[in-house]
Amino acid sequence: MSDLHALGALAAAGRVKAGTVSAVALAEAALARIDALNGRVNAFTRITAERALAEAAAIDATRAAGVPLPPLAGVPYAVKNLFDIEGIATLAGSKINRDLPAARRDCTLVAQMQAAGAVLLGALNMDEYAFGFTTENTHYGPTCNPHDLSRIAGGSSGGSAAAVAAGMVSLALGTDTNGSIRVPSSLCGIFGLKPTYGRLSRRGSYPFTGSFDHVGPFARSAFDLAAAYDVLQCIDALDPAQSATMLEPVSSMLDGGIEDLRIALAGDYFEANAAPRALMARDTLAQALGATRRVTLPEAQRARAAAFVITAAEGSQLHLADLRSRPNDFDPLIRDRFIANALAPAAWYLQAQRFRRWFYTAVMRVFEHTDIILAAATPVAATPTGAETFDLHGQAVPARPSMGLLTQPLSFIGLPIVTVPVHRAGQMPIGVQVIARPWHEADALRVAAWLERQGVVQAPLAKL
Amino acid sequence: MTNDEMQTYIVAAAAALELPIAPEHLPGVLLNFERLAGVAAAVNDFALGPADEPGPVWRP
Repeated sequence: MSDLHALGALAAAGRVKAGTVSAVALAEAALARIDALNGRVNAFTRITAERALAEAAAIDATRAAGVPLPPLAGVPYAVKNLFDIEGIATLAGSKINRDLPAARRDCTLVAQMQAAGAVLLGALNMDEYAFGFTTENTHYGPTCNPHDLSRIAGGSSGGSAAAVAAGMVSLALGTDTNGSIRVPSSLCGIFGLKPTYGRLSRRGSYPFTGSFDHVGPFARSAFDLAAAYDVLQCIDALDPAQSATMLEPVSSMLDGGIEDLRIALAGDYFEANAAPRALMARDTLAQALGATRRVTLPEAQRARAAAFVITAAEGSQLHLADLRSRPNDFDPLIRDRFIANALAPAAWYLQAQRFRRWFYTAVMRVFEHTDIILAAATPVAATPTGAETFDLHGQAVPARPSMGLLTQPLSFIGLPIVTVPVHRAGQMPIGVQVIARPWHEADALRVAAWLERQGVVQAPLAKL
Repeated sequence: MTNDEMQTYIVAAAAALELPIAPEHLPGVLLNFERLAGVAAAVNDFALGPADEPGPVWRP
């Protein structure tokens, strides 16, 4: 097998533009890597080889014609299987959606990636309907962590993170409602971006909880992550949730210093719910950045609870018709929860939505004197597949919901967050959230890029 | 809410939604509703004023 699969996105595009490698060769290398590893990792649920080779050939033809190439020319990528891909049914991790007609067009983000020259390799595994943090999918099997195949990849975008960590693709797309980009990024040891709520178009992605659903990229470098984020930005009048009014590319902002940023650590709840290994990772970043000041996001535990309630109500209402008619076709891991959640009183839901605004206002006061907040991304590193509990400060906590303890209060109010990976020899990787104020993705990406340049964070390929 | 009251509510609410619950699913539904109720209580206990409205859209 060649080592082309190890190229990051910008490196791959650079070589295609320079003519030292063809887009077809990159696609073939990715297909070979997927063929060799997917039986063990189970990241892909569908491989779009024909499309990939056609897109790659079109890039090579463009270059041969002397036409300037787009920024991600020839870069292999794949998407969580809740994104519409023309000609394929959008599974969203479910058995039920197999009955849906094939998507008639690509979702907006896949269209953006194609316009940027990226080459689509396929669709990726996830928790059913994005309702989970582990990608232990009963229908399609669990996705395994490329750094230790006996452990979870995290979820719900577990296939996305695993595919990038394993070098099957250079970039992947996923969604994050309560942590579904940040949790798998943390557990698979790669970079992930959850932008501000409303920044990127969700059109053509299968929803989970409309109030919190975000879309975003995964990569093995902060620079690649920013490059993907830049090409994903567009103003999509047909997306009812998008509120961005302008494009704000960030890649040109990553080379400077970060002296202007006031960086603090999230204390209280965010320390009480992080095991020592997670706090060590955060402190590694804090030391490199010279950050010592702690801030409190007031009522963070209640924010997590409110996110839980809103997720319960919105997530289950979306599937009410199928819960009525075919409950046994849901993943047994989530079916009873979906049914219970459908019965939540409206008063609970509205109280949670009103509290959401209260919490947002309170956190914005913290951002009056702070630009960046650091918090661990997951309480612990990847747990064994099938684990029911993990240890948190001497207490056994339920493993599946608790992986989102540190992410839920933040997506609850739509903050932009980059998860950066901390690797230590002989240990599973774990991530740290670099949290910025709304619409300031550039600040979080600047910090991530600075840390990468200093060698504090990195995302080495998993040894498989 | 006692367990009996909770079961009564679940059965009634499911009927209102025309959502049948198979007998073999009921214990799991009860367990999950009990968890949800516990989580919701933490939010419901928080005092909010009339001006604390939902604000679902964040403006740039």
